[in-house]
Amino acid sequence: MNCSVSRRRPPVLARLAGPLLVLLLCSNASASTPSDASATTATAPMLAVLWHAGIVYAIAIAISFATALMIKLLTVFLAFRGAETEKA
Amino acid sequence: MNTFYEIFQGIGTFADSTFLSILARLSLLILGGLLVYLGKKGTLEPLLMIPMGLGMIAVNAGMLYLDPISSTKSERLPTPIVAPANAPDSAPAAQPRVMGNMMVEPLVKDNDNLMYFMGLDFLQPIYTFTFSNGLIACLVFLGIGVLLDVGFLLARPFESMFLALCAELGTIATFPIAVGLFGMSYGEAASVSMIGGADGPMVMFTTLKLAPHLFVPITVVGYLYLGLTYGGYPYMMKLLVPKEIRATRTVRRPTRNISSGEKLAFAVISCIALCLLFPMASPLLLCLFLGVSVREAELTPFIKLIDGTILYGATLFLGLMLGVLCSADVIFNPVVVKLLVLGVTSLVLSGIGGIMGGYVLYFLKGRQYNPLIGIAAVSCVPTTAKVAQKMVQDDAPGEIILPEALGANISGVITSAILCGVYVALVPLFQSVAK
Repeated sequence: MNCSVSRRRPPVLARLAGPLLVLLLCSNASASTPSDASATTATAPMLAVLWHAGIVYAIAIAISFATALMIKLLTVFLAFRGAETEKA
Repeated sequence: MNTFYEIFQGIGTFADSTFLSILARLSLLILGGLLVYLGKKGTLEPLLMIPMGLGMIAVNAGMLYLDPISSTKSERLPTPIVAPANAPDSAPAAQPRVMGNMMVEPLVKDNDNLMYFMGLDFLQPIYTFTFSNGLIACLVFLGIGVLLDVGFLLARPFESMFLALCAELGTIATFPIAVGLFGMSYGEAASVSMIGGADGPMVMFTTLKLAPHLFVPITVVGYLYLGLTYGGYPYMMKLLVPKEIRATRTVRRPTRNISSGEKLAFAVISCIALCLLFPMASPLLLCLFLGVSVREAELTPFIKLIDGTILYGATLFLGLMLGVLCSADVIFNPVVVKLLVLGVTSLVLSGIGGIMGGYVLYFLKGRQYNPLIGIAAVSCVPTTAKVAQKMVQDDAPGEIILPEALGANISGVITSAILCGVYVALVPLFQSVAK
């Protein structure tokens, strides 16, 4: 059975991505001053940040589906009204 | 030689710069040329990229020496470029002249100085009166509203909204990445995350409200990437969707015709509901739904005005302004590297989210739904819908997915507006809680 494994080198971008990320994280870690006064939240625990992002997404989902529901009700209502007018 | 540099100050400023600065200006000159070339070739959006590229070239080539601006008086302090050799030691040291351009001064804050630059820099009035207050974003949105046929959304609201929410993955996921890994503040993180919504006006608006100090770099990075979606998303679609699935023919239920009255009623009710929920985003929402209402009420003179003069005029000046804001000193700021990484992360995640949403519908509908429609949910009206249709056309000739794609596309605009409103409303709240 031929079980050859490809030894192809990954593309240039993929090879650069790792060092670039490390460089960015290091430059961030060495930054001594926050970029503005509100950057106090930059040190907020990751869990809190994820929680906040979750709240934002949950609200967006709720409003988007409420909008979709409103559209559905509107089209059903207008279609019903159109049919009634036609009948009359 | 000094006289030569004094006469030809564009070259003189090159000679007088550090190696890094020369490299930065040369890179931006080349990038500007590349944008014009790719715009002409059709790889990038030409309406935006050609003015932007040319503006980038002009601002980086046309640098000159300017007297340093007085912090107390609304005038530049006249100083000689070279201190006279026989100047007495007691004479006050001449302040060195600064390099600048005659296009725009985006970082000016003092009102007196602003008035001075209004009379000096030819694009300063446009920047101050239309760009930095979000008017140009609203005008573009008005134009987008006139182009939108919301009938596609009204025909299949849940399906379109589901795809649009999946395609907001980048807008949501980039936020914790920016705060946690890149140490950005909530306002900065929310602004850069909005790039994933792929709506330039939303990015501008959110940044103006939450991170005005990063307005120029985020807007420039955002629009640069939005131009790249035109050329980059087809590769992502080919990578994530195998050829046989790309050729799937969508089986659709017959839908009834949506009347213009229904579309107008939708615009009015949505405008009321969303403005009630997000007063901060009401200028954008008003412009979007005004455009839709003008279209559906068939106000032909207004349609001609908005669709032609206003939309194209706003796009031209938007592109030009973005280009002239790309001067080496503004763009080569350490934070821009972060923005470049986060911007592309956001757009890539949104694209992946959209296609994943498409896959969910593909499986739910018994493999009779083309998952490429999902990419159209990444807003960027109507580019992503056109990109999806073109890709499907290549793999399944004669297949038309444009109605579904445009429905998802319009939902993408609405969910982006919703997320912009949520971020603008909640981020100050989160910040106060965190303090």
